[in-house]
Amino acid sequence: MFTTHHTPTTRSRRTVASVLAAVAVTSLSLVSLGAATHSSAAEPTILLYNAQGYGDKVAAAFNATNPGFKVVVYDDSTGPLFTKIQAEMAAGSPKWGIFWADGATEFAALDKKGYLVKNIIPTAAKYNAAGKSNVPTDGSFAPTGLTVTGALCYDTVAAKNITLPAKMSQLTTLPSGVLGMNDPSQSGPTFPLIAGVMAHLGGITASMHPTNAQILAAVNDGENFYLKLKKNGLQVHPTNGPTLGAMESNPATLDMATIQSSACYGDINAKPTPYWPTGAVKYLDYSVALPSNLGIDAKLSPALQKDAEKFVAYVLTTTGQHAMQHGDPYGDGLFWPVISGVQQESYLPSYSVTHAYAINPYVWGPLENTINTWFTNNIIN
Amino acid sequence: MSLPQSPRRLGQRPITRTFVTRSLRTLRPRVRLGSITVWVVLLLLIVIPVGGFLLVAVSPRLFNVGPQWFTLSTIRTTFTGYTRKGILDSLFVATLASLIAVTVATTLAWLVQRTNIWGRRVWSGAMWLLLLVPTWMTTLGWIDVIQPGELGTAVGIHTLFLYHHFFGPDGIVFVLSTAALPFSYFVISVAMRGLGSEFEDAARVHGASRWRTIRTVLPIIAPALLSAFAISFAESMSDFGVAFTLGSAAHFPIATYVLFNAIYSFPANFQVAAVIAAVLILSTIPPVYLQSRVMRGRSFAVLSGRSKGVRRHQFSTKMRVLVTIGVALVMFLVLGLPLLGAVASSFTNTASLVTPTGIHWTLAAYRQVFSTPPSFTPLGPPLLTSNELGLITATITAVLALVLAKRLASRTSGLAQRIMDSFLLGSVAVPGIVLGIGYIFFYDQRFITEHVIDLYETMPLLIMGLVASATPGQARLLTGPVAQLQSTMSEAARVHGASRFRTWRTTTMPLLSRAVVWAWLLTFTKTISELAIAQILYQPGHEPVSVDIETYLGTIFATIGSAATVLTLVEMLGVIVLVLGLYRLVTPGGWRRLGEARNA
Repeated sequence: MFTTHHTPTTRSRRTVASVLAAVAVTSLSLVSLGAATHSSAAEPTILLYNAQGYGDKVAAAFNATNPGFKVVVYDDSTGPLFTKIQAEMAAGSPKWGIFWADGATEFAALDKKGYLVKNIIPTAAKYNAAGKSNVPTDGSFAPTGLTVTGALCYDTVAAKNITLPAKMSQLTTLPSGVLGMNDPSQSGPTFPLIAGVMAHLGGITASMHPTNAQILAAVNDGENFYLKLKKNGLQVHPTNGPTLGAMESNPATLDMATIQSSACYGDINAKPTPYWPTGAVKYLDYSVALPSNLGIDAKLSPALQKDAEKFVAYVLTTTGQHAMQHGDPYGDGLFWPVISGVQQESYLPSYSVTHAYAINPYVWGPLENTINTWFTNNIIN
Repeated sequence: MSLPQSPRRLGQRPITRTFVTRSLRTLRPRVRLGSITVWVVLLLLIVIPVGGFLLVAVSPRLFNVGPQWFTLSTIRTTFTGYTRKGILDSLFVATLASLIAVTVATTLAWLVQRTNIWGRRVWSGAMWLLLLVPTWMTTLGWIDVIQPGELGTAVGIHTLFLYHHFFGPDGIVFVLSTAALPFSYFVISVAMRGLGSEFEDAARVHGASRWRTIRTVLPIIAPALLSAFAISFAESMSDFGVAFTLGSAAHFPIATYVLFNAIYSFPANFQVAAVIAAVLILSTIPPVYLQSRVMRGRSFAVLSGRSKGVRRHQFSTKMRVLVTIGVALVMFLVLGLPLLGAVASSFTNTASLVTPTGIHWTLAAYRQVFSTPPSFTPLGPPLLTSNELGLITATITAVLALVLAKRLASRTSGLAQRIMDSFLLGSVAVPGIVLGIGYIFFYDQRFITEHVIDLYETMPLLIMGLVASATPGQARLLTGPVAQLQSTMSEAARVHGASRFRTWRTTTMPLLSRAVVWAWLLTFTKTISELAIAQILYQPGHEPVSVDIETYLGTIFATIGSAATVLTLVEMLGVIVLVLGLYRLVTPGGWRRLGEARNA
């Protein structure tokens, strides 16, 4: 072991290899350290926690025309981002500056805890009627677009022998096993759907201040509705992707599902080739409005809060809305604009066709955990 | 180069009783300092962040996630209904998956290391490939095979029955077993390579039958078998990929899925998540206890510079063909099929592989990997980031794991070793998501960010998280080889006057170099495919490749995600080939030949 002899050639080969390895390690480490310190540049930055497909493009367009500070994007799904925000708030040193996601319930929860800057909506914002109906009274978050959840997406080939329902309540009488939906614990837009169904069954509108008894009755009705669906073979997949995948497989393992409209339109209208040519969307007697929203961290410095408000103002202009549409043309960009004068994508129907039913996020937000747990225990398992 | 004949020739003092006593006295503080350093590192990497998070279970007020300073109510509620079922399911599934993995791995390791079956390098390489593939990728690959309209349909197999079974306990056990298989295989393989033929020869010379010989020799690699079981169990308990992909659709709750739900619920239920995490960690104590019971007072040191090369068992030609086909079938089932499913999917751009108008093969997804649709990031920068992370994480982990393995393998220490052992295995069972949230809770504390250091959402903190995640498992993997080192070699070197470093360089390093290189490669590849920690701690603007790929999945661009996955796997394989090539170039032949089998 101690008497190893090396020829000069072997030794030089090893030396060269060792030097090469050391150079590789060192250079990559230096690149990494460079990256690690990249964010410590002099220009002020605001971190945008973004769950929207178009967030990066909108931030890039904004940064290009607004010098002096920079919006840096942190992409993820709504759930992980919301968890990070809660953990950061609990630790006491939040890094997020702006939060952009679908649904209003999580924003209402942040608002109730005092985490959001109030009155962030600029007076210049020209909301249309649909937009106005989703603006919170204290202006603590700003609706930036509308989609609906609870649209009936279906495969025309798989469902050709099935009479499509006209009402949400008729879903319980469909042939067994043909209907699907998402898991509210994993899919952001699904709790608003369940809450919307409950609110509709209980006759609770967005502007009402319901009593506990009214809410309890609505929740009860909703639970019975979903139990009937389960009895009728309801399939629950984690998120839009797997649910759509089950309908798009050949042959389909799922005929139809109540999910988010933009997800269906994205697959049906993908360019250059439609991804789901046999897919279609039908609106029942009601669907549930799902606004995308922007909120600003109340712990940002006053100067950065002002800068963040500039970003909100930008998104609520015609230019900002167009940047959203072009930023993710086959996904989240398929929304109904909330600003007057901005046209929706050509293959979206009129918003009125959706019969969108708005829920009060301050009423339903606090119930999300309880209802999702009930759903997991009683519908999924 | 030869050693001097006596210590005097190095100008050292003669070894006398007084000299030894003084030396020991001077060594003592150094040993303590070493222990303290190791524990400080572990405290900062694992104990404080994870411990802090676990404390939330009984003291939610501590981190402002609840009003109580002390409560046991969360623990009571966690052990009821759905959550309890998840925990029990996980214990059952992890035990079953670990038993299956260790049994199959032992058989495969013996066939590859100790018999003359064909394609031995291929099967070892296939195990590496299996190790590279994270469970979420395996699951998606299987869906690409058995979902109606996919690969199975393409070859005329009706897969609906299998598809429904896959989304249930059967699927979960199968995926976890295949994931644990390479861990067990490599631990047991290293042990079998280090086990010379002399033990078998001795048994056979004394008239033992083949079965008796196996029964005699197998206990010698008991540390490796138990280590394989323990690590498989811990990995299965903490697996995030299965929870992420099969969790809800399986209608069979497992603990990690329940934990995942608790953390991502609205509002996040950190208290319940903390209780489940504690259960996952505590569940690893029985395997460690079993291991320490079996190993107590025994020596398993068989690896030395004089270990003889092993002799391969020679199958007859007919048997050789049959066994080789059998191994090939197993490897095709656990690795080939899901990989084939993913690769086939990456060469199409349609909703399912088989469409009403046939299969439409295209390279579009591979083109779009680098020229992405508007809302996605091209593969290049994330892949570079992940390689940098892998390089740094693997290097730090290899050093730290070796230090810890040495402590674990020590036969002189008692309680401290057992604490370290339990702690490290418990750490293997810490899900990445818990580590990530624990890091936010601790390193994003206002006091720390304002007065000590602000590391949150920087590359160094992500690297720390990745090292914390990889080190316990790697330390456990290295414990087997380290435990087999005979201390007589280093003692001999020291007696002959070699310095500590020279002793290490000339005795320990040659014997462990192969295992350390494997550990490095394993950490490197696992870092690249790691998702849970990366998703929570990555630096804004510098997404690792796993986070980038995840954004494609579940969208109409899933085929681009498949193509990106395939390219990432190819790149990882390239790094493995490069590193092994460098190892071959740099190290003396004797290092590589150690433990190699020869044909009889």
